[in-house]
Amino acid sequence: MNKKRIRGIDIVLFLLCLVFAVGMLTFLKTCGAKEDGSFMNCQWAWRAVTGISVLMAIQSLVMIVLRNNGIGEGISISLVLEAILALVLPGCVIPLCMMETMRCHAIMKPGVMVFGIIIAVLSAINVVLLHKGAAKGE
Amino acid sequence: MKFRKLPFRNLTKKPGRTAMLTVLVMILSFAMFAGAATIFSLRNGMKSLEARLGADVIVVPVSAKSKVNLDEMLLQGTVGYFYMDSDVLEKVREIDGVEKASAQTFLATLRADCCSIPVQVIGIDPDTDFTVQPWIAQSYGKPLETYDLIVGSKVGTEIGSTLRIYQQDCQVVGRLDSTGTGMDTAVYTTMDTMHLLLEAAQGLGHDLKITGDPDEVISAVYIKVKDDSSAVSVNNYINVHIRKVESVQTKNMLTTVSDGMAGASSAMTILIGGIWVLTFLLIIAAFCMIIRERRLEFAVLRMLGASRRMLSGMIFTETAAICVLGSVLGILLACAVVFPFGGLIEEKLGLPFLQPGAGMCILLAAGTFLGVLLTGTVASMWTANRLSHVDASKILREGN
Repeated sequence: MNKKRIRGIDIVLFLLCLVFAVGMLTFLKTCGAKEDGSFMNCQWAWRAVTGISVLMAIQSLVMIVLRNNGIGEGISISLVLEAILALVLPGCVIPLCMMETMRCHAIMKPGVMVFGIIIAVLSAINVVLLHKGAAKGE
Repeated sequence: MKFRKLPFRNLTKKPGRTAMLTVLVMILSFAMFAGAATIFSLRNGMKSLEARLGADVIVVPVSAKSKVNLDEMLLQGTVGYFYMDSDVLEKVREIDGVEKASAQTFLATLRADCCSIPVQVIGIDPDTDFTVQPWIAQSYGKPLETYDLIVGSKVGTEIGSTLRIYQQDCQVVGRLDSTGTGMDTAVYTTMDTMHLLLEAAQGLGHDLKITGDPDEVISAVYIKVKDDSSAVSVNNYINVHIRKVESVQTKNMLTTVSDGMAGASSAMTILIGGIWVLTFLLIIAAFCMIIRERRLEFAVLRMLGASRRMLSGMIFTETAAICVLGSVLGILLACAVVFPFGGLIEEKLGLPFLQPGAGMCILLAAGTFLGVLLTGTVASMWTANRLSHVDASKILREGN
């Protein structure tokens, strides 16, 4: 069976999700354990968003591998929802540290915001494009 | 197909070429907007610092300099504490030329409830304070009661919540507006509450190096000098006549910060200028090369009846479309970097940083958009002018 060619937007989405996931594990990481071994609040927000970002990277890779409009549309919808969830987790759902000069406020939250918004918008565009394609019978 | 649709068809049918030119314009737009927003934020921070500092001279115990970097502590909010006898305040008030003098007492918490970093607590006398009280009055109209706290804009606690400091429950009753200075990370309270907190800290075994009664200590005296007097002479008088204290002129502190800000600002202006010139030349070069490549296409269009004016119009439309797309993308990218990561930029620069309001940001974005559009249009004008003098029959005969 001849597969459809890989779409540019799928590759961009995958790269964004991959950078997001790698970023959460490296440059967007929050502070480590305190001297007494306990963690600050932001650690739980970081863990939750990291899990979501890895899931998003895997889903966007599946979208490229399968190259199926219906599956792609479904994955794109879930990417939009996951990106929104990632956006609201740090600060709204899981509280961050008290001082806004700390890494969680200064680096992690803005990073999640930028990646979350871009991925949500691109995924929403992808949903529309795939839906239009499906309507045309592509 | 109508001729006016041709420029957009040209752009969409050559996505690589369009993307390359759009990225060029985007870089220019990003550099202009991000640079301008950063420079404005630094200037705002400096203005805010000058307005908020208020005092001409600050008196601290002579031991303060060995404990903390005074500039960093007073201007950037680095946490620290030191104490001297409160009679220094009375001695300062008696000096000729002193218009106002008010004491502040500092205390660093060892650990706030949620974070492993200390928070600076500053005790003020609301009746005499002229540095913080005017700003507190703007945020919280009522007098501060015992255990009431006003927090800086970067202390992320809700108004009405309780902050536990040295096992004392304090009520957060207000929040100061953002200043871009060290004031944003501090917590303010009255002298009465501060003395209770000092006692609590000592009761828990923390050695604050206080000799004597905690109710009789202060950390700094802020002085406003009379208009007809000199801050230098008041500063020198204190250093000579009052023992065990050191007097510092805030003007000298501000000069250090403003020198740093001027340096950062100049470097950024030079960088933006360099990027602007480079991008301008690159856009001209790119258009020249592209138009040279497309000479045959233009010659065919001329033979089909397109006037020179129509061809120039087509190039203008293509350029304008690329400039609009590139500048919008560049501004959006700059917004995604400068505004969310403002805190990080502030930390890395180590200078007062206060982002401009929405109105100023819209003006900056509009200025960048028009600047980029003008740059792109001027760059293409030259090539369009050359094109209008192309001999179509000669190009078609020669085949290139």
